[in-house]
Amino acid sequence: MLRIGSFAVSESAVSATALTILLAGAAGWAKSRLRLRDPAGWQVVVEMAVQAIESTVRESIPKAPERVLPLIGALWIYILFANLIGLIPGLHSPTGDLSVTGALAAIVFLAVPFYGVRAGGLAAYLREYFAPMFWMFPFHVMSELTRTLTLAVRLFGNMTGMEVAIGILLLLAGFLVPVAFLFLHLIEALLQAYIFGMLSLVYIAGSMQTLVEKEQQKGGIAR
Amino acid sequence: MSLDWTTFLLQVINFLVLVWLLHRLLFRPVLRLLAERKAATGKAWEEAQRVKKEGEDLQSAYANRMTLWEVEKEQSRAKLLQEMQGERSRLQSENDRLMKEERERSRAVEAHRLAALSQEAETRALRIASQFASRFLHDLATPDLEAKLVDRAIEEVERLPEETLAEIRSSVTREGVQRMEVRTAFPLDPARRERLVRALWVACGKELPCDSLVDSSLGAGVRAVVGGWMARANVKDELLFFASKGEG
Repeated sequence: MLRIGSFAVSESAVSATALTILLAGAAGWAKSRLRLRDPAGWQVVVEMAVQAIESTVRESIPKAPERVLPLIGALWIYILFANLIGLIPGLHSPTGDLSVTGALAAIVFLAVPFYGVRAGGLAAYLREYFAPMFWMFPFHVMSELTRTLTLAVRLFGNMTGMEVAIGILLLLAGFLVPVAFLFLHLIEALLQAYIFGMLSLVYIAGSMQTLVEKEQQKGGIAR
Repeated sequence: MSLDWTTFLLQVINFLVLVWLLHRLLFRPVLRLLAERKAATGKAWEEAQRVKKEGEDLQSAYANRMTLWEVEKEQSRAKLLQEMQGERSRLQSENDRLMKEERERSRAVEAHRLAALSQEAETRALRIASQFASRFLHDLATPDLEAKLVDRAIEEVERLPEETLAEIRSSVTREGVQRMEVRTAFPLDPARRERLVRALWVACGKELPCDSLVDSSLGAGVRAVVGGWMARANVKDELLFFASKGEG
């Protein structure tokens, strides 16, 4: 824990803030150097990544992918780099902190009704909680809560477990043996970022798509 | 595994700020750039299509022009061939005409040359014949021949037609002829001379005095002159006449 006066800040919050600043700085640097013609190698990579994110979002939400793209793209990028920080000796992944993953899951939890209401309206969205029968409401609420919880715990558990496993291996097997597990950590970081982002996308798309389809059946599309 | 609300709130704020920043600094600019590139590519594609269409139109126009040019060329060639044919026919006709004229001219020249040659040959033949006859008759020129020639002259004078006689007489009267002359190669015997003079008197209608002369150049025969009229029957005059015929 770091203390700034009487205000105590966790190490995870500091590293998460530093990561945010780094990513924002990198984005600003990239923006200032984007070129329409003859793009540099890093620009090609950035364009490919953004295009891949955009096409993935568009596949799930064909109607208005640009609405959800910033959130899902930020989730993928942030979680990926947050996971990869753990590979640097002396640093810990912010995603190894349940408060961080819980915050991300909470944002997704709030994003689902936000985009759902935006797509189909508040009444239509709330009506979904009572479909197909009114007594399904508690189950829907429980479903929302549990999937949010699983989002947070899955990411936290996987990253913490991987860091603990590598730490134990370093203690038991010496210096070079955990190298293979570092590669596994890399794959795990990619995979967990993808899973978190993809599940978030599916949840948001589900809340939007169901409403949009119903609105289409009624004869109008809410924007 | 405890939940620190400070970290939780900071993370929420951090992440929301990051979403906003990435949206502003990364996603929107990159997507806009991609859209601009796509638009530029589309524009370039449309431009390429337009240029291609223009090229195809130009090619088509060129092909049409080539077709028209080919047709025009064929027409011009046909016209030229026709003109050449006409010109050739005209030149052929002109050539035929010139050839015909040349042939006619050559034929005329040849005919003239042949005529000249013939004339020359004839003249030469007559000259030779005259020389031969002169030499031959010179050997035959005797008083007997002369007597025969004088008799022949007398007969010819006596057989003169009336019209000729009238002209002779008129001429004698008009010219006021007072004498007549009789030349022979040999001296004429009196009887034959008398017959000749009488015949001459009858012919000129007057009894003019007669001068009798001997001129051996006559060879044989007689030459009688009454004014402008002359009666000849001698070798020299005959040969001269013969020779003059040969001269043309």
